[in-house]
Amino acid sequence: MIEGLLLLSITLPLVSTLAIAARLVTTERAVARVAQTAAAVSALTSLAAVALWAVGGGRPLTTPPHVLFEREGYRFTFELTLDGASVVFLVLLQFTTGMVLRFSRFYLHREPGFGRFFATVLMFQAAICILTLAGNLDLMFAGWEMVGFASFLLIAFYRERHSAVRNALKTYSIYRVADMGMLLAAGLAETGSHRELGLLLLLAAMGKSAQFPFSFWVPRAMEGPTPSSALFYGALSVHAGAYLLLRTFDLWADVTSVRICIGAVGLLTAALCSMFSRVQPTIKAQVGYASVTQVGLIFVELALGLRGLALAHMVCNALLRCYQLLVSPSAAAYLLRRHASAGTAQATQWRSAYSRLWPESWQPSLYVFAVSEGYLKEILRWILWSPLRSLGRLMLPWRTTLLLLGSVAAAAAVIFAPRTTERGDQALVWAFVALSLLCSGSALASWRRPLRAMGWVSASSLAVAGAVFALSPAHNLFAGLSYGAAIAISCTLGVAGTAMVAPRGKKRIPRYAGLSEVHPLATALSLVSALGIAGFPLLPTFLGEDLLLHDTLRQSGIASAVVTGVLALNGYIAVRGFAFTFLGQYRDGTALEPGAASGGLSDPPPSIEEWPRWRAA
Amino acid sequence: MDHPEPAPSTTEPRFDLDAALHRVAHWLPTQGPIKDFVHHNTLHAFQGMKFHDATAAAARLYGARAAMPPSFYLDAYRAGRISDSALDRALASAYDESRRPGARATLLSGRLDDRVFGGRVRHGLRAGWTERLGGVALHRRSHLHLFRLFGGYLDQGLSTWRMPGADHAPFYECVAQLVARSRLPLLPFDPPGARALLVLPARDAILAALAKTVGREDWYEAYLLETLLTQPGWAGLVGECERNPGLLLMPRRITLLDFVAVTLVAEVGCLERELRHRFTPLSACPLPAVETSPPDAPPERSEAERLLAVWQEAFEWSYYEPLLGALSVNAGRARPRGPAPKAWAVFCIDDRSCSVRRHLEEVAPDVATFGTAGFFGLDFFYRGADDAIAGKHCPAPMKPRHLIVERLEANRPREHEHSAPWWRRTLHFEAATNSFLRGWILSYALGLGAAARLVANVFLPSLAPVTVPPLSTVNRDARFRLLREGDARTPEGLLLGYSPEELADRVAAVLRSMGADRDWPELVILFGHGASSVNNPYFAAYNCGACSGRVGAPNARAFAKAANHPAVREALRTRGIAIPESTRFVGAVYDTTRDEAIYYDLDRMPESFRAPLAAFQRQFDEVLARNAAERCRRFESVPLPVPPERALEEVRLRSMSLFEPRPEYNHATNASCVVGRRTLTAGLFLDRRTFLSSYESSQDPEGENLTAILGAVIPVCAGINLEYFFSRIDPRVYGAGSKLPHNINGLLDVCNGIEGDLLTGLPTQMTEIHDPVRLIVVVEQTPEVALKAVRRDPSVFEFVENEWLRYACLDPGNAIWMYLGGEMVKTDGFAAPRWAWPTSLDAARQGRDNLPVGFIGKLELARKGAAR
Repeated sequence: MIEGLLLLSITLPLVSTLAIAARLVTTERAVARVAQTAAAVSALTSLAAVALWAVGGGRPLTTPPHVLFEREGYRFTFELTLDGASVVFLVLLQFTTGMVLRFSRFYLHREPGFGRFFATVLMFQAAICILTLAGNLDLMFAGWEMVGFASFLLIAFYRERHSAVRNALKTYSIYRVADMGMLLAAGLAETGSHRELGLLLLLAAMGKSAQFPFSFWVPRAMEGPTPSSALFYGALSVHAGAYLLLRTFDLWADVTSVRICIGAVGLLTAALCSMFSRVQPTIKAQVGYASVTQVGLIFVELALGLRGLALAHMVCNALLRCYQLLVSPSAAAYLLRRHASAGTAQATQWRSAYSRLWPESWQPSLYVFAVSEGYLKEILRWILWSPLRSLGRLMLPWRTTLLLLGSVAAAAAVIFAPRTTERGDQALVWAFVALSLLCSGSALASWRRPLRAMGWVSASSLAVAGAVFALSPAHNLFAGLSYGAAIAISCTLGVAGTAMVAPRGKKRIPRYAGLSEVHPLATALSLVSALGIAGFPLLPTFLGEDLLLHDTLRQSGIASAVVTGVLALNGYIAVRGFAFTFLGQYRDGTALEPGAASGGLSDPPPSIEEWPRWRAA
Repeated sequence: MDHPEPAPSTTEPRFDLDAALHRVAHWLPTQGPIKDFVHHNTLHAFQGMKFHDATAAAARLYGARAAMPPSFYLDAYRAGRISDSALDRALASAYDESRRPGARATLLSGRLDDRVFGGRVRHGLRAGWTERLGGVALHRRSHLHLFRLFGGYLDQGLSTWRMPGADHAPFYECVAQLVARSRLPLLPFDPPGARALLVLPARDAILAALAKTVGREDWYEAYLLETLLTQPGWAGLVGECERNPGLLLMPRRITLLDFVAVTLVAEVGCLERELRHRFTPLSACPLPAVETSPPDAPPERSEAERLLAVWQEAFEWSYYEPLLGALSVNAGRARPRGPAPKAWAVFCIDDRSCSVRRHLEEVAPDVATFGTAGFFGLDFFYRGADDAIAGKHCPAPMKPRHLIVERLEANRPREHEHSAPWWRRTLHFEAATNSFLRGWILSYALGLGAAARLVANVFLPSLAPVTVPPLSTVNRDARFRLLREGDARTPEGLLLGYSPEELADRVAAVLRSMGADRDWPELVILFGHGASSVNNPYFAAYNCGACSGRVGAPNARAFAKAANHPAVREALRTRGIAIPESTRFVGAVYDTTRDEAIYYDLDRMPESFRAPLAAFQRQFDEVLARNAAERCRRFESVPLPVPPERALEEVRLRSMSLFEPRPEYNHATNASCVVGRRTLTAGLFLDRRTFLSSYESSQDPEGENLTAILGAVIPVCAGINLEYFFSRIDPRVYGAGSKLPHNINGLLDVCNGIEGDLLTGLPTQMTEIHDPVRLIVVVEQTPEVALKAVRRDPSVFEFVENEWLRYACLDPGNAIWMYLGGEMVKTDGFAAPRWAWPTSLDAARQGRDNLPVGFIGKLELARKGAAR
């Protein structure tokens, strides 16, 4: 009974998402009705389930696992857990989502993209329900990924705006790092040590909850309509990491080093973000950092083992920040009014405690540190992206060689697989892993040519499949093949979608070309393809990815860590390719030059290929 | 430098930075901080050109649309919203007889070129150069760093940790000091090249940076213009604050020079960081030929642009024609002389008063209505009882010399929560919630309360949670001293109140210009207006335009006080205006969002006036309900038909709902302005599209009163009209885009996300139902006097001469004259309206679109018109 109710509260929003996305309902009124009904019924069934659970004694309860997929030692099961934490978070999420949906029904009136907004928020509702109720890490990861993608879609809601799409990508890239931790943790759930698990979960939680050093994405994500910012970065999404740690408390609580790490990360985040929050001149950035500050403190409470306190803190903080963001447009009237009644003289004297706390000579340095947001963005870029991109750029001239080597390795694997020695096997595995990494790097570097990037991603994914196969040919044939097939379909779709929009004779599409405006079909194809490569739940690649990691992790830890990284990276690259091609401001390529009417244009501007040459001049 | 420096031509003088900056600043938006939202012509910089030349020039400069897309007009034509006669008129003014059929065929073929100019930012010197430096436009990199510095420095009290030195140091010095004294790098200023520039004075830093990046003096100015146009919001605001430092509550010493210096140095820093070695200046790169001259000459318009202008004019004529026909017929109508009115109600000229006046006349035929600019001729600074600073209560161009201070009577508690103890305040905006420890405690303390507030507002909106009375509202219990006791001045040089003579001058001028100086009724009620809305950064744009975006209540109240004062009445008598004892003035305020009225100083009113006022109030309550019903037809979310009582509920709910981005539609759909007696417009359904100013031409043979009226009316109304016009035709460039993602930046303005430029203009939620039509001003005067009157003030005449609005007059014989090509030309061929409705409420039931001009209750006239 409880299970049925919970299942209903997950599937209803999901079904209505699909209905809206498939344009079964189109008018504003119909979309709003479908969305509100789905959300309301979902909330009511959740509450009913909670009530039944409470009447039944309120003991932690796990529904009987349904095996969705099973193959020699790997089982993907669907089981839901109700305990104190999930019940509280469930009520919180249903409350805030319901309120925000109701709020948005009026707020988004007449907005282009009304349906898109509601479809995405409903998908988010389903996803966060799964995340909250999941009885195992595999299932939780499914919700986790969907939350991330919903986040991406809503930040880029105003898809014609450059900064919105750029920041959506930035957020998504951090989410991919978090996904890596989560993916590995899910794969290691049964075999890994508690320390490994704890640290991996911490990595996942750090990304999702914007803890140090990832904090900078939260204020930058405030690009969508205000209610979506309130729901995601005020209330739920940003607390998902903390909730993950809460749910997996028993896994890591006995390892002191993990606890110290969690506490340190939280404390550092709280200290830094409360500082960053003070210098922000925009209201949403201020609230965003304030929210992250409190999530940092929740991490500290968790590290200290104060689970109840952390849960209460989570709920209160989520509600407060959600409200603060929803009323953020009032800030101008309210604060101006206050300053007007306080008077200029008083207002100028009013100084932050921070500026009084430190010696005068430190002030500039501290202010610069705070206003630069601790250089977190630059540091991360320097550590994470630049090396990969440089690697890729380095490899670009060697692409033929690379592909040749890849083919040779593949042939070798097929021919010698049944008969090689242990050492030969290992060499082959590493060859494939290295190949996939190089291909991904090349894909990262060749952002100017979406088709080529797609090709590199395909090559990289196939190399991953090859590595898995080489790891234990007999054992992993199925995993490698199934993943390879799923990814091949996704890549084909992506290539088809991109090829449809690529202008004839030109392989290059300008960055943020905004082609979704004119190519809806290609957009849909590419979106599905990007989702597939990113391993979106509901799509076959998700299962393939899961299976793959599950199989490899037991055999070689480091190789599979790299493979996970490559998978996460490929997903990011695919989504980036989608964003670069289909999002952004559409220009029909024939915009008039200012001098056109008076005949001012003499010769065409130099093409981009020429730039390195004359830059060096 | 190792690249070949182009030899500067010897004939040209050295680059004059100040002059160049002055010229460049001219092209920037001129919108001040959002707290005083004053509507103005978005293309003010181009006002010296003819309208169509100006839009074309601006389109080339900013990369904006010059009119709606051709499909908009074609759809309008097909739907009958552009009439054939209007199209003929528009074609006749643009093409010779022989070319008209061809032009007409092209227009109707729907194959008009729909391309938009890229603008200087996308097709300029910089774009050609910087997009090739790593594939990303330079400003995309520099803005990330620059905007937080601009915001940090100019912030008016949102952030809690001010930039060190912001309170006293000028901007450039402040940044330079910060970089010099910080042990950590401030990012774009980190590379040695940028650091070296930052030790120079601002002026030298600019020149050195330009030499580094551009390298050719004759391109400097064009480059500066393009640079500032990549960040028009901030640049425009800085320009405004430099011209008018009083705009900022917290004074900041910022000039465009400093702003440019910081920008250019930051860009040098970005280039050095990105390219890691010396970059080639612009002058040494192969660049396409692009426009570098200043955009002050009218451009040569293409055929497509001309045709689009014809569409636009046809669209406008489709509105003007029926309006002029209706005015002409209505003015010529013989009407029975009714009994002398019992009361006069004086409103602001605001288009939102148009329907209130109509409903009032329908409900209470014994009330006469008047319209005058909503500051009622009283220009002053006003400081409310809760305010520490004073706000300007008169049209933006005026410079008041008087200050009115409101005081609460002793022992009365202050109403406002800012003076309440902290536990009663709304803590959700307190900075403490953002801090580490206090935030920790407060998030527990406020979390559940926030949820309760949210539920309460989502399901049962009420004024309680975050409503804030706008700056300088009038406390009903407060008193203020209008008459000054001496000539002592405040430190700012303002006089504390008026002398009776000064008041009498102002009161007399207003009464005379309205023709309201005899046949006194029992009551004269003056309605100032304002708006109350929640969760709305554009709150000031909803208020009275003639009061600089503030509530007109103090002005109405002061006028009533003045006109009731014995000393002022005495002084008025010497000016020939004898107000009898039996006449009482009452100040009131009309809330345009909530359809509510508040009357002031009733407790001091003699007993004998109470009963008539109470009767008026009852009638006016009915008027408000009917007016709400008429307004509701525009709100798509309100199902029609809506009875008045429910409409009133609906509009009040709207004003209190956090989730309502359209508390009202403000001036949307405004299109015309009638200056004349009410007999011209009484009984006409003008659909809230008309500014109505009362004017008595018979007492104004030389047109001096008219000049005074036009001096206030044209800048205000044309400012409103043109701001709506441009925000509607290009919401992306001229407008602020959708309101939904807006983020408050430094209490100065809104931006998108945290990395966006400040947004100028109006959001789409305010303009979406607006039909872009230039204002037509119709005055009731002979053509000679009308022309003479409008010519007296060159700044006003510029609007007329350059066709930023249409100027027409209705002569005593009820013929229409229009200002066309430098003179007043008799224009005819306007049909009388074919529509009539028994009451305004019946008209308001006709769907949501703009309605044609029609008669109210004059069915026989309509039939006559139809037969013609």
